[in-house]
Amino acid sequence: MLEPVALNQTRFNVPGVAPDNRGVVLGKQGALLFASVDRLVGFFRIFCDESSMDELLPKLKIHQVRTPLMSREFLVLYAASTSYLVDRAARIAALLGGLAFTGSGKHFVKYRDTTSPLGYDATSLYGEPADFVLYSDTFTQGYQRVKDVEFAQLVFRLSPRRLPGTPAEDLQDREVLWIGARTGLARSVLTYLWRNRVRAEAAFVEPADTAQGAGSFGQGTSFLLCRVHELPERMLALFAEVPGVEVFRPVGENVVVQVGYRHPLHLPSCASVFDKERFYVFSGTRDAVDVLKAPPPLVPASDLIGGGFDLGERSDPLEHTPREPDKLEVQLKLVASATARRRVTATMVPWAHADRLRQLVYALPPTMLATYRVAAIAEGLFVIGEQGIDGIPIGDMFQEAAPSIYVPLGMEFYPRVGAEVLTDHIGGVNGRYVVFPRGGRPLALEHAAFEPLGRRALARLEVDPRTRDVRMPPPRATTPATVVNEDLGTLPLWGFAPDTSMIKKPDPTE
Amino acid sequence: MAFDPAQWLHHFVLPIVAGGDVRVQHVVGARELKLLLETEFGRDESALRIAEARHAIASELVLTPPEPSLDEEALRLAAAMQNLLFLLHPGTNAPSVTRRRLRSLSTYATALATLPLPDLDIDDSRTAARVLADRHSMLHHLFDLGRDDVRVSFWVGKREFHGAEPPSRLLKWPDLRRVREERWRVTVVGEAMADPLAKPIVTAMLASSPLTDLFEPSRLEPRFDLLPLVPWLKLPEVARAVADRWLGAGLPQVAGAYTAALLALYNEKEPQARAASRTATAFASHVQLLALVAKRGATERDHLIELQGQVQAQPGLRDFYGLFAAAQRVGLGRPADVAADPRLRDDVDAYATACAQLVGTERLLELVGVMARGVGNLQLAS
Repeated sequence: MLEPVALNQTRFNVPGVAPDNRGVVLGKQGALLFASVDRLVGFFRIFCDESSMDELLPKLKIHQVRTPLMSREFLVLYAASTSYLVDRAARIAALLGGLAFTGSGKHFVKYRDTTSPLGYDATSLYGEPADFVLYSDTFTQGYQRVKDVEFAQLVFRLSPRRLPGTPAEDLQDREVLWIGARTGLARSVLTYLWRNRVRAEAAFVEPADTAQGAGSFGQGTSFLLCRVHELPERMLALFAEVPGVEVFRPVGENVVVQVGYRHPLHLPSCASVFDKERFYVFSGTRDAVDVLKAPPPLVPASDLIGGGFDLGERSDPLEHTPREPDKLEVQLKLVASATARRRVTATMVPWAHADRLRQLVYALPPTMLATYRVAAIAEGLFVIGEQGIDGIPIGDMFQEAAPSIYVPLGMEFYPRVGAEVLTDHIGGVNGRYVVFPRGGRPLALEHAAFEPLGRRALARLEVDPRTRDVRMPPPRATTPATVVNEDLGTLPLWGFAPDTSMIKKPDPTE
Repeated sequence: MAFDPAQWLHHFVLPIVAGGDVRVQHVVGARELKLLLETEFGRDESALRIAEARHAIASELVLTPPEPSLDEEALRLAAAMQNLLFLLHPGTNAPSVTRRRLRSLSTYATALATLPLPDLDIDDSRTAARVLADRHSMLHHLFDLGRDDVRVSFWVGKREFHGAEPPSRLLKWPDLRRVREERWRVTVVGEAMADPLAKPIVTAMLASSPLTDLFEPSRLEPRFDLLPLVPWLKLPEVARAVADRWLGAGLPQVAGAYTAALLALYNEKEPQARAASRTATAFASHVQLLALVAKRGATERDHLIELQGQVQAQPGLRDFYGLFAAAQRVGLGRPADVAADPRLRDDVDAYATACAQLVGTERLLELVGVMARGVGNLQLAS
């Protein structure tokens, strides 16, 4: 029978147990008892997914044990380095119906649970002969060892399980994959990869003398092992359907598992099981594991593809002289556009209509005018509004054929050239606008010629179109006024006499 | 020193109008004014430059103004300014200058600055606006006219120089005499409003030039009073120029002062205050609608975010926007033809809703009450 351990209890009936830093009773080893191999595998499966098996593997022993009633169970012993590790193992074992114990040697007492957070101690020791004695709250029983099961055997003997769905759904990352192909298919597979420009390295694998039945690609024949990079999804689907070709994905440095299958255990967390000098291939189709005695000596697949070479295949090379190509000039024309009109972003107001523009400027709100800029040129006032000039419905309207290139509204260039080509064609628009007036030569207007359109800009403009462009005044300079007091002399108000007629005399009635 | 009209134009009137150093040396009395009025400035270069500068200023305000001439009104304003600056001159503290003479000078300068305003019953709005623009072109530097003062401290004392440079002898051997210079700038208006003799002159100038008064509502002194100014806001040219000036400066710059003046106007007991309140309220809404037209298409949420940003920086603006929402309820928030354009009407509604949300229901009701009492809508006020 068991009794709960009290806080700071130091003497125990069960040998080899002692409280740890937290006061939890802990022996040198932990023990887990499972009724069947399914539950045993399930335990390792969950444990591998949660954490690395390296915590358990150093002193892990799996015993098949027999009860006095001759039933067989599995007892897992491991080094109980901390109570945290035993807590985790006990929690997972409880999920699968297993029991957790702690102790050392042959006596193992039930590990702590919610009823007794510090653990248990046995009231008396079991006296019958047995290899292992387990003290639980419901039983105290001795077990005889039948045989030992190596964890590596568990890894290599468990068959990979097929995953639902297509292989492509199993793979999100196709950066590096491995392909195994039988010898007869090797040339075809390599040629196919090379033809489709899939980067690949390959090695031929021969069966070793020590290889045993299941680990030699089925019939113990040689096969091609090929590492491919960025395998297209269509080829992955194709290889998955071809008999004799298997696609593997790497799950460790030297372990690959067939695509579409998953090993029952999380292999990356069992890295210490795999020998660094060997290469392991887990095949789900053949339900076998191929173990290569050394990492495959990979060579680029393109080097394996080739035909015969003959020095007389072609004659000596011919010499040629290069020259610049002939220039093809295509004249740009402005033609009426059949497409929908673009937004009007500029207008050329002839000088004859400048007075109307001035009146419009006074009528429009200043905030709208703030986006307009004007340049005075000989042809008139060229007004630009990059957001559109809906407020000025006079003058010849222009639209932007390309950035900073204006053409009359409803016109387009023929042939239709792209904006970049057009810009190159006119020598660039850096620091200037290029305007193509209707029926005239194109004009280049420097950005510096523009100023914000406002009342100030047009205040002094004369109506006469011939002289107004050169007399547009610069914006009014706002020079601050500062008082400077000069010397007033000794009699500052000498001679001052006010005009008394201007001064309103105070009304006595007020 | 004899008074030379040409020199006076060059050294005083031209910098008053176009900026620069305003040299104060003379006082303008009856004799000097008579001399100025009788002098023909037609070919004087300074007079031409003054006319050009005044025309540039007037062109920003009204459509195609004629070039302003140096007529009697302009000369009287300039003479008043001259005498104002003379009163602030430290040289008037001389023993030979009596207080009585200074009072006489102040009275005369006030009389010079007092000009008859255009009669709105006789003059059309364009003529009246041009007269006001011409006067403003003479006084537009009034609020930024400043004076650089210097204080020189040395080992045995200190001296101050107002609008003049200290003599070089005071600055010699700066290390040995531990000379230290401090410079600051004072505004003439600020100085004048603290002087009982100069204050009436500034007040008279602003009364004669309502545009100058309207353009600077956010000054500290003298207090911005809407009652005498509102009749001018009824002139389209003046209203347009004022709105342009305020929108150009940014509504947040003037909104606080205008709101304070408007709320003061609502509480005025003068008989003409109710009509003035209606005009002033409508003008405040008008300016906000102009600002709204420039950014049409914004949603109510956009408006609210922008207004909250402004109010966060200047909490005093909250009432300005709240008055717009209140004006919608009082019937002074928008012209009737806004309804003709459904998109514009929706924009205005969105803006008004954002303004109402900004101030909150409680404050909005208070503002509606104050506004309704101010404009004489007693039914709504009750």
